[in-house]
Amino acid sequence: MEQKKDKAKETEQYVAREFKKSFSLGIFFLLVTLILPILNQFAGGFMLKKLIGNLSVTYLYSVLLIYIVAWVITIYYVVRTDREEEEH
Amino acid sequence: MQQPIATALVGVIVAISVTVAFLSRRFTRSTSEFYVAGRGINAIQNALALSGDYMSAASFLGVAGLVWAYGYDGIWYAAGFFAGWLVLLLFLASPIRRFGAYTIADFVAGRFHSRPLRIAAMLGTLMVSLFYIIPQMVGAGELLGLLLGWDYVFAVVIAGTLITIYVVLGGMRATTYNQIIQCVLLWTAMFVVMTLALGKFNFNYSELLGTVAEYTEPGRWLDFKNSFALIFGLVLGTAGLPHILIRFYTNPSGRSARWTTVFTLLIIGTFYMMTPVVGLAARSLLGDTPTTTNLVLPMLAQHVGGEWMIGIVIAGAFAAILSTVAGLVIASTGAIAHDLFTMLVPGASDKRQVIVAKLTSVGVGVIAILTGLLFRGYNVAFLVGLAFAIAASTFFPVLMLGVWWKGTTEKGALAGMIVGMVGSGVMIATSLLKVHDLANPSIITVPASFLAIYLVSKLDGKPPADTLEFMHKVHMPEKVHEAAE
Repeated sequence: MEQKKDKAKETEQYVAREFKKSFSLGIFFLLVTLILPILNQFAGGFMLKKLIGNLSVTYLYSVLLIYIVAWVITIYYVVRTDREEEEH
Repeated sequence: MQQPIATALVGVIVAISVTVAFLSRRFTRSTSEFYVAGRGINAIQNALALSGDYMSAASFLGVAGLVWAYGYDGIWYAAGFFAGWLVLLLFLASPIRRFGAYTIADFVAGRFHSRPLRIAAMLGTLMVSLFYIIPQMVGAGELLGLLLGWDYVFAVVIAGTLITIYVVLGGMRATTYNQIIQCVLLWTAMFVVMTLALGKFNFNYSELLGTVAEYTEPGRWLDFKNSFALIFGLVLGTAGLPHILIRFYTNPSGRSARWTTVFTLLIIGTFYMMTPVVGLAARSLLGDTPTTTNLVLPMLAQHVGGEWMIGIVIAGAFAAILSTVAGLVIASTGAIAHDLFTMLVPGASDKRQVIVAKLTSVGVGVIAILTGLLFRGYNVAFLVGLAFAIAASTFFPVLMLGVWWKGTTEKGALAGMIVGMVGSGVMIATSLLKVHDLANPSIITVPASFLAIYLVSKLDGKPPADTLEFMHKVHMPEKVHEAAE
């Protein structure tokens, strides 16, 4: 009985920790993605500013930044989770 | 227009597909082999297969066409199709694999031990898959019809028959190997077109954008509300697509499922990064010449590389269609032959289930052909967008809360699925009838589904007794389970 309770507690703690990690990374990425239409709407002047040659802030954001942020989060999450599972 | 090189390349794809299926035929003797390739597909193989499964005619032809037509606003589709994968990785990939079943209905029913939920998940799978199959078949008919001079009906029948043959002969194993080959082909085709197109601008991205400056700014197509809604629907829709989710079952472990997603994000990310270049190059080089968005890429290919290039692009598009429809046929077959059949005939032998699965695949193939013929002329990318909306509303909330919130109850999950499925259906129908102008309803129906699950679960207050055991199974690392055994 005691062992069952320990297992349940361990699972709950593990799920809570995993959720915190996934949720914080997920919310960060959703903000990065969903803020783009908002910035285009409310900070149009800045977003249309040319950054490199004819590539504007909003263009680079949509064809480059979103991808790089996603890749970085992905690698960070998978490597960290693999390590945590090894240590568990 | 007759294209001997394209016709030959399409013939080669057909020959390869059937050969792979023939060689894989011994791998369909059990349900585990038929549906999940014996869970023996490694991370890189599965990433290539998933990318082939995911990148459909809408991605290959549709996005470049939309960027040509609307410039920056078309790029939303590329970003949205890509971004959804991260949500899938962070919240669902590993738990779904650890549960280790065959279909999404298995997963939902396993969490809540509920027959009505199994039926709802089965219906949801069929609804999403059908909305997804229709544009692929329409794409196949139009593409092969217009570019190879094939009759539309003949083209749809050929594509549908070929897919059915290799799914029936080789099950998930043949589908996987074919998707791998098709993924390499379509990625390479896009890369070659992009390189040749960029060559026309001295390999200078900025120079290309300078020629179509007005197309690099937002607002030619979508207003603020609709661009926001579209991104929202595409991002969450990916994490609810049954034909994508079931591929995670083919991995050997949760860790392998995570690495699969990493490789998939690299493959499809680099693919979607190429589509704006191709779309804008088409705008610059072809102007208003293309008559339909779906033919922009082949026309650009012809412009920059002649007959060989158009051949490669047609072959790439054909590969994109085959790989996606095959995945959808497997998902729909699982919904009918596994979810429904095993519920109606409990205790049926494994051999009998495989026979039923193969017969069902033939039935689904026939339906794919018929719907392809029926919906001739419908817009490809728009229909795929609707499939994403239904997937996001029907499956994402229930999977998300089912996996992460122990308080979710059977009644709550059922309420959420019904609100999501019916809500998205009603919103799409009313949008088509011009009652409102919200093109992608997920922004309303996804929160509504989450809310329904939360409120009904709270009122109900009776989560299944084995919820913590389920959580233990899907969240704890494999080595914890191995130690317990």
